Amino acid sequence: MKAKLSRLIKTNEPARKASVATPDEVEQQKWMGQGGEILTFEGEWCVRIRKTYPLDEVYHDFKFGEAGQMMARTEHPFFAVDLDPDQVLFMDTETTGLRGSGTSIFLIGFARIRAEQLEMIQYVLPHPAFETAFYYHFLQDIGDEVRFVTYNGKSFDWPQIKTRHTFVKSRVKQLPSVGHVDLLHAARRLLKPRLESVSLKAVEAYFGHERTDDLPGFLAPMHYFQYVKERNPEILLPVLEHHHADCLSLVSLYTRLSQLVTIPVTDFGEERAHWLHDLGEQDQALREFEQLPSPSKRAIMRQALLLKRAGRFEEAIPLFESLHTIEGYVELAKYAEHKQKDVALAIDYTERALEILDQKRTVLRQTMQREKDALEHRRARLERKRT
Amino acid sequence: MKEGDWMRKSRSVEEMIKQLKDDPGFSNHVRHWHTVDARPAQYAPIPEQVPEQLANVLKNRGIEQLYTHQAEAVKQTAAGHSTVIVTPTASGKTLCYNLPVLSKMIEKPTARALYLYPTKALAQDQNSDLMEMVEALEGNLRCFTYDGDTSPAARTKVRDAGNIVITNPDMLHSGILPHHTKWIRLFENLEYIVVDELHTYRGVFGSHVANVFRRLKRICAYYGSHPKWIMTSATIANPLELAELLTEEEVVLIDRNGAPQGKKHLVFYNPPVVNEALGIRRSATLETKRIASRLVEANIQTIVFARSRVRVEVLLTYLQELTRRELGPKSIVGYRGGYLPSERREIERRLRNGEIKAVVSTNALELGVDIGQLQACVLNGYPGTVASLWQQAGRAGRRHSESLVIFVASSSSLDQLVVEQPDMILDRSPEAARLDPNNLIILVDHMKCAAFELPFQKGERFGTVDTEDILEFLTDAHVLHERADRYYWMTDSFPAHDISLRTSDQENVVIVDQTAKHQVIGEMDTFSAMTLLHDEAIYLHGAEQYQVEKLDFEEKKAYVRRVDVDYYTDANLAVELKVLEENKTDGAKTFGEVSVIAMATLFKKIKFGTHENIGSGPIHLPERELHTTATWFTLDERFAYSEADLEDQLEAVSDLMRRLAPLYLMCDTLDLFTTIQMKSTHTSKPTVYLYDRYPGGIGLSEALFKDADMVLEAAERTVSDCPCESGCPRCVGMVGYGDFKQQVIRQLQALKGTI
Repeated sequence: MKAKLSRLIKTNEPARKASVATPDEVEQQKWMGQGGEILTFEGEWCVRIRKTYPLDEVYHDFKFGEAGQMMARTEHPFFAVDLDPDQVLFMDTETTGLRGSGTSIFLIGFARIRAEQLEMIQYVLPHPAFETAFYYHFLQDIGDEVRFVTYNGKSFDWPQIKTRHTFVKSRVKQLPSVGHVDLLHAARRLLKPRLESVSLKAVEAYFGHERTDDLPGFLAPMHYFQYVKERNPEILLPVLEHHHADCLSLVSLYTRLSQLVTIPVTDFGEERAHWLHDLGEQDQALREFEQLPSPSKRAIMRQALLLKRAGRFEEAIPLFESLHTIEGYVELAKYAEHKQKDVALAIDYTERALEILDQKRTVLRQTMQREKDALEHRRARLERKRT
Repeated sequence: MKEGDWMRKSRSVEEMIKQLKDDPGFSNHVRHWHTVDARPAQYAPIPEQVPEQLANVLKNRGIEQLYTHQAEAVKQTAAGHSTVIVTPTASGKTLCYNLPVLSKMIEKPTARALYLYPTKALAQDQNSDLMEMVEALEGNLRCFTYDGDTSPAARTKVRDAGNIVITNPDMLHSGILPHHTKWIRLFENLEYIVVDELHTYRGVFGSHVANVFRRLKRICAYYGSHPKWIMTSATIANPLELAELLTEEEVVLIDRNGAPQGKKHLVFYNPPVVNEALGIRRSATLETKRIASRLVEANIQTIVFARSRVRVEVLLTYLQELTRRELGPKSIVGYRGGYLPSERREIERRLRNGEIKAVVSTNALELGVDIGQLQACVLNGYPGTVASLWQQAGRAGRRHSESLVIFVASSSSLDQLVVEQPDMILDRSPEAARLDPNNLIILVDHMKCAAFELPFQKGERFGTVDTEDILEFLTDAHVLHERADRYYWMTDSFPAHDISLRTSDQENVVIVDQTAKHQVIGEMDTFSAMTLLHDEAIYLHGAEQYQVEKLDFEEKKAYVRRVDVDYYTDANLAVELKVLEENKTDGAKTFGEVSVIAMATLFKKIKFGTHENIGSGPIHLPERELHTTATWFTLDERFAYSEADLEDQLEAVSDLMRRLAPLYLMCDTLDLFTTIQMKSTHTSKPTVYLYDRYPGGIGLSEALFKDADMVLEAAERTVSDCPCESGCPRCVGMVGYGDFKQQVIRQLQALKGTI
């Protein structure tokens, strides 16, 4: 019909120019309206959004700049970083699923401390078809040597990046060499069992910064799928905000937790003492244990063992005695036998340990039997020695 | 010599055979005595493709030459072919794949191989064998099993360092393929895929696995490798067809078994009739007891196969009692599923040094597990397929001495057919394995998994299948999104998680065993669950009996408890069948697509052996719809005197077809359902429909259409050979009258087209 009309009826209108914007261009315009930069590569494109903050801006109780100061100063084995602050990325990702090769990362971003400001960058994947451009630009920007500060990044985000990189590695840079400061592990160490859940949200709330109107993490994939179908960046805004907040939160959390483990007086003394012990810092751990105002039995035991190992028996013995536990009595028995050369005393301690074992109700029969066998073996051996 | 003395003297198999032949109490009931001549070994030198170090390892084990089929396997694989080797029991199949794989790895240390076994248990079993050879080679080769039991720490090691990864299809499907980027070293360097027990990949399971293989090949191609397949199969009618259907590759068949075999006797024994009118015979289990005791007392190492756990226990107890005083109770061993490799080695060892006199087992033992070779085998009842029969019989038979296999028929019609017409078994090859990789439901499920693994390109094929329609379907369902001619995964789900390789219904009923503690023992599609898992049903799992205490249809859970009873349950399904499309027909029989609306109504309790009805009950479940394929047969009204006659004939024909079709289709009796319509809406004539119980059909009714004449012939013979007068439950499924038998025979002949 249309063709027939144009054949039969001549009009005076000039021919319409075929300048219809492609869907890509339309979407790119919208992104630019949101402050995004369009980065292209080999026919693909992605979005980069950059924001800066002054270093003395306070977020969750701490100035951004303080994170840089902690990095430079701290000697705690977990929080120390061996590179300059501008190679330390406080990083987080948003993914379309939890695992497997069909899951993509659609948002990757980090906060980074630079000389004069805190820089916050987000990369958006407009469609899974554009992963090459996405990783190309991300890897170009971060350099060859990077330390990540993340929340579960060591077990989740970084392995995901490695997986996705496999699909594009022939066309983009190699992955950088990396190190991790995974604040989730720090939170577990310091805040459990005080907190039942150490999700980032729960930790923020504990320190008085509960998020309001924030998008729950599990809804992020749905927003992304809808954004992809409708090509409307507005749909993705709540996810971008949530992700943005996550990254900034990491900066302050790093400052907070690294301070927690270094300030002289703290509410978390026992937790950090145990942590240092498990990180292999025995001397430091001992100093921490010694300063605890009200140590648990577990802390006392560890302190006593560390003292024993350091040869400071006179300090260790009273601690073992104060415990009234099986392990404590075993240590006393050993000391009595080998150092005090008092076999009768050793037997006495061993029997006290057996008494406690008999009263224990909470152990598995198998374990209890094993412990009993060990103690009875010790006693028998000591008896033989006595005669 | 007194009778007692005679009973307890050791005999050789040859002597025992003579004794049985001379004893009328035995020989009078032998319907057929079949002998297979002894076969000497056929040797071939160790091919030059086997490197010297490996050849030395063989020589140190006493192997100076190979059997012809082993050498052939090495040569064909070295020539770059995929192969399928038919390996009956005790034919040295592991060398057929271990030699080519290890040879390649010596030549190229970065090479990798994937070994697939149908179950975890079998995989772990074979691992120790392979490990021994690898250790003897003293190189840097590493082989690991990778399955649900592998610890997280070990998993990384297996991925990075495992030259040979041993696993099963379920793990491949949900644990390896969807995480393929973690397995990049394996896939980039994959040279061989070894598939053992190929014949188990049939039916629904086989259809799923064929698609898992398509995904595997697709991922290998992505990483640039093109591995060859080395497959082993038990004796089935179509090993090559099966191999090519599963792998969609060109495969070379190696089926001339070079392993030696002593002379084999296969005796078809039918217990005598004790009630003519009802056609009841002496109990097969009792007869088995008597025969097995004779063998055991003659010190002949025997294995007895029984069809149910109950019967195994009965036979075991009796034989143990018999030998308790002279030989000790541990000389008779019961084999139940789930033994550890170490326990199996122990049985093997004790058989070899003569400590064990007899093994009593269920069919669980036939699945490739090796416990060494015995001298005699007694089968209590037909194991269900010809292939199984030969596999069980294959357990008896040493390389250089005679072996004796005695098949004792039960009163079931299938058993009776087999024992009276053994040529049906002996003259024809065993059943063909059937599967349908392009069953739409299964195909779409795996295309989802494949799309999750790697985006599909427009125009790309999945195996040999065009993907366009399915990709569009998945896009419309918001599972995929297309961009730049590629289809990307667009949901947050993990598809392999919801797909079980063992059923084809997306909503399965999970079977929970409550006997000790709650444990999931299996799954079943909802359609079958209506008749197999209703409240009070007796459910057979492996060879264990369970009773369903509660079927929670809403939650799709069936709670069962172990029992030992002497009856089975049979549920009635009220069925409305509608023909959707006719695909092929020849007038008497037609094949096509049907829609079945079914509702389970009531069930009966039927005693084993006598088949008495000892109780019944209602079933309260909603109806289900099933779209599948079917073959139907229309009866000729001219052969009936009245409408009532015609109805009876229809029931008889349908009953016969239902019982006998499995003989030819290598399927469970339960994979094919039957329904009758007196005045079929489709044909307006009395019609019997046989349909696949799996949505989309699994190739069974199609095979039935092709082989219908064989089944009809068997049905005819069952009726005409039955000793009853006018028809009985054994032949026509009901008590007949007058010339009813003749009527039924004529209908069957009409369906065959012979009158």
